[in-house]
Amino acid sequence: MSRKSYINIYVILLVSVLVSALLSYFGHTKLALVGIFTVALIKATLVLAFYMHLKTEQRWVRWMLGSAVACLVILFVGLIPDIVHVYGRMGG
Amino acid sequence: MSEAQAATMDRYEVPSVVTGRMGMWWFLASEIVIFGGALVCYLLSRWHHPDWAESAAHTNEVIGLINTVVLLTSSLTMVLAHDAIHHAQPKRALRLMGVTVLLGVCFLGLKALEYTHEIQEGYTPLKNLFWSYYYFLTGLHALHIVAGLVAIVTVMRGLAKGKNSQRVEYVGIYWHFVDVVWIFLFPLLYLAPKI
Amino acid sequence: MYYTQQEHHVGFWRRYLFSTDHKTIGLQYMITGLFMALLGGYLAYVFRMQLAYPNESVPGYGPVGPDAYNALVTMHGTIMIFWVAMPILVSGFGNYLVPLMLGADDMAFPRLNMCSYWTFLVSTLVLLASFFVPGGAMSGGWTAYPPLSARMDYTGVEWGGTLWILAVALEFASAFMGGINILATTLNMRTKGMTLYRMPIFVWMQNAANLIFMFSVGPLVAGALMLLADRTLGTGFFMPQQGGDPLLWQHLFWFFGHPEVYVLLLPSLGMVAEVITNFARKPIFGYRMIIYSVMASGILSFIVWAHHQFVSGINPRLAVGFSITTILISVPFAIIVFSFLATLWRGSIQFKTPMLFALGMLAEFLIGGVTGIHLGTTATDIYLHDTYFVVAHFHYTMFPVTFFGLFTGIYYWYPKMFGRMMSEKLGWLHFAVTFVAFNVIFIPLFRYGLAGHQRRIYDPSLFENLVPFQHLHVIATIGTIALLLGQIPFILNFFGSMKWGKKAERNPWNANTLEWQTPSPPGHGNFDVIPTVYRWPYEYSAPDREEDWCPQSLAPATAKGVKHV
Repeated sequence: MSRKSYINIYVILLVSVLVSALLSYFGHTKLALVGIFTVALIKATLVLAFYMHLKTEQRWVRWMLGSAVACLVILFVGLIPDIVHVYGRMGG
Repeated sequence: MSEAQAATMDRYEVPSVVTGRMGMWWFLASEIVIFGGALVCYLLSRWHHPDWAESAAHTNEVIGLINTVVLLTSSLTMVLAHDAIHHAQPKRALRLMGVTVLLGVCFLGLKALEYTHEIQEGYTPLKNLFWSYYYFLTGLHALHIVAGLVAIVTVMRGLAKGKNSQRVEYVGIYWHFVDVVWIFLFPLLYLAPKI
Repeated sequence: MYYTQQEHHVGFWRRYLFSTDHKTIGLQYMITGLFMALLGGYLAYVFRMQLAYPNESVPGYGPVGPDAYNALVTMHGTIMIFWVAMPILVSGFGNYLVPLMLGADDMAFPRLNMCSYWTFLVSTLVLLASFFVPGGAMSGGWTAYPPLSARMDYTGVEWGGTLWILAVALEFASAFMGGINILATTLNMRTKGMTLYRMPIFVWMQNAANLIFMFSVGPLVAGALMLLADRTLGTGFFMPQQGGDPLLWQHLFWFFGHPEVYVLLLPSLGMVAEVITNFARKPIFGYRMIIYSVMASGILSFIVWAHHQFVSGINPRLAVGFSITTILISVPFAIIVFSFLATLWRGSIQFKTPMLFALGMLAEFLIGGVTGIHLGTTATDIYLHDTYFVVAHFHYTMFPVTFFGLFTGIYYWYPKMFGRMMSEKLGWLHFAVTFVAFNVIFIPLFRYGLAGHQRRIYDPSLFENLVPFQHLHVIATIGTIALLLGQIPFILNFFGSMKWGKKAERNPWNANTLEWQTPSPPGHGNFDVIPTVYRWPYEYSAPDREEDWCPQSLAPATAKGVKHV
């Protein structure tokens, strides 16, 4: 990747930060919430792909990191019924 | 590649990813599960406690925003340092890594200011469970920043002696990871509550 | 003990204490683990004496009150899992054998390796310190459920609990470092010709175990930090009054806790695999099937955890799902065990000591495994949870995995590690006593567990319904004492053979894997002749060959007959 590309990505990242900040100030709906997290995902993907060079890395590394994230998704989904939707537990 | 790497190419089956970088990826995988675990706990608890919105509105999004820009910039300087090594410009790499460290220290300084202000306002880690999570998540992140700065300085010292230039890439990958964690922490703790 | 091949003079400290050599580090882990096993065994002796003869002073300890009892069982469990099984099976044998089996000079990151052992040693010292602080050692169960563990005044244990959390966290850090090393070494330091599908089963198992560990322990590390904050700072992550949730801890703990048992099982199965193929003089049956089953069970192990929480008030819909996945996970393990049995079928079985322990491991583990079905099925678990049936089940799995496994490994690789042969007679005696005593302890536990005997009570004589089973407590305790005494032949054998054992050649068992091509013991750098691999490791009793074995590194021109993978 060229120096110029790194700087271009940086500009996109900065703009994204601004966009999400604006969304949080002027948005009042669930849509704004979805918006700021989508922006976060895009930013993370850019950093992962181009700054950490995951795009050009061996495929198994991407799969391995994806598996780590998959474990977290399993944990999250598995815990929703117990932590989020609790019925009648003290303090719940 | 280094002499050591050339030697191993004849000794062992050809590796798909060079050992140093691979070690960093394995390390990051475990870090993902640790930080991710903490984040999952927060997300679940936050979902379960809609009343936290009131507390969460008191995080300082201005400092949060500045810190986000600071960290993103440090990521840029770090990747440019790696690029400099790639073009055999170690002195340039050192300068860029120096800027990265400065920006990292800036981040910590702003964080310290932020914490001080919040504690003075009465938002301590014991104020309520939201604040406990806030200090836990940002504190854990700040510890990783400190570790990253120590690592970068260590690599810089080696590089100044002309050794181990390949480590610039590896420490860079770690630094970007710390940045990615912040990319998620920022909207979670600073932006979302404002909506 | 070791000789160096190069002109490489290192002092005593660098060679034996601050070594970066994977073999020294492996032995350091094993020796520390064995020492902790004695401590864990002693703790079991004390609380079993209290159970058999309630409120009589225990010889070699003193009187055992309820708080002391809780601390004893907590520390017994904690020590056995994290300071015996992990360091010996995963870090110890893993460090020693993986580079050798791959034909490598050392691990990928030797200094990180040394750091991992020292972190582990510090964790051991922190844990031992917790016995001597005011308030005593941690007593909230090895599972450390809050709110009990989240507030010091609930148990009266202050420093003990905090040190416990720190010790466990350090142990995790050490295991992380080790895991990175094993994975990187396996991927990048296989000698020429060693493709992935020519690696011994043990190496596959080690990698799977470390992968499973790395991906499951993260959330618990976060949780442990939160628990530490609750204890020391007064936060309420797990306290209902402050908006926290005790069930969150349970989930975080078992999300790791269940995969952890497979982290321990797999290296043990790996050692058993190497031993049974050698002492049956037969190739492993279903090499690839075993590997795929390990992968499947590794993945499945991440979606079974809440079977430990069926009676905790979890959502019944969750319970059904976890029950199904738990029953399902028995399938890949059954495939593995049956493959091992098929390996033995029609083999030329040699009943050397390693083989005795390997066979014993499989037999006992099978019992443990099938009793897991009773616990994985929600309906029966509701009755059996928190009874001694559970204790019997996990000892029928964990004890064979840990102890039969480590004995298999030690008896088999001792000649390689120390250059001497161990006594077969003492080995047979050790096996006989261990095997019998183990069953004498735990069969009664199945009986009174089924009768409803609850866990974690310090005095069964206080409960009218339990009094009829008191004689079983006595039997189990006698078994415990016999088991502990039965380790004396092993200790004598282990140390005695170092001095008086018959000198071992490179390959006393006529085995195929690469570690047997090195001197006994291997020097620094391992291989005096760098090996190239030509075949898989299980070329035993090939019909067209003169010998009933064929080392991986034996060049085809000199090896007659059938070419394999």
